[in-house]
Amino acid sequence: MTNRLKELRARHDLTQSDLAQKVGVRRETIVFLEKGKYNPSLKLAYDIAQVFGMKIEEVFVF
Amino acid sequence: MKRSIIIAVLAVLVTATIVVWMLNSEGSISGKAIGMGSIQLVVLAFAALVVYRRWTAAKNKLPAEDEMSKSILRRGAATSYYVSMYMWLAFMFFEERIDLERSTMIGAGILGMAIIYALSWIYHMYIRRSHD
Repeated sequence: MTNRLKELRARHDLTQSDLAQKVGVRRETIVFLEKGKYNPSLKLAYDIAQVFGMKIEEVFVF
Repeated sequence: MKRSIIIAVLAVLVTATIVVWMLNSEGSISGKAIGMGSIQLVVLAFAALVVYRRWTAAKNKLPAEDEMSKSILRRGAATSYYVSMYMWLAFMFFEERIDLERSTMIGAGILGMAIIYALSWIYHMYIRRSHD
């Protein structure tokens, strides 16, 4: 599974810490997500998609 | 934060115990005791790492634990349980060959389990880096 987190973060001018704070996870989790080393739970994927105002499938590509 | 304080207090207590034990030994510390002491120091270093991580997370207003860190803890626990079983099997096998008291063996085993857990956590956190 790949994702567009880095690109969307840059577009919304968010740091990894900002995004982590918004979705209630540690910054490391965002780092691992961006590197594709961690697959998020459905809830976390939903929360992240909500931050960017998008659908889950637009952020995470299966 | 509360858990960090508990871990820090425990680490201080263990450190104090080591210091008192070293002071009471009056310079006659054997190689075996040095080995046990160094294992305890590794456990303390692990506790310090956990407290530091929690403290920096609290400072940045981030949760101390999230779904990924919990997943790493679970995987670390599972791996260490598996490895610990082999350690106890090895202890049973070498029990008659090693001249150690049973209580010392059990103490060493418990410390060994702590070390194995710390190592498996480090493995899953920094080396394996794949947590689906």
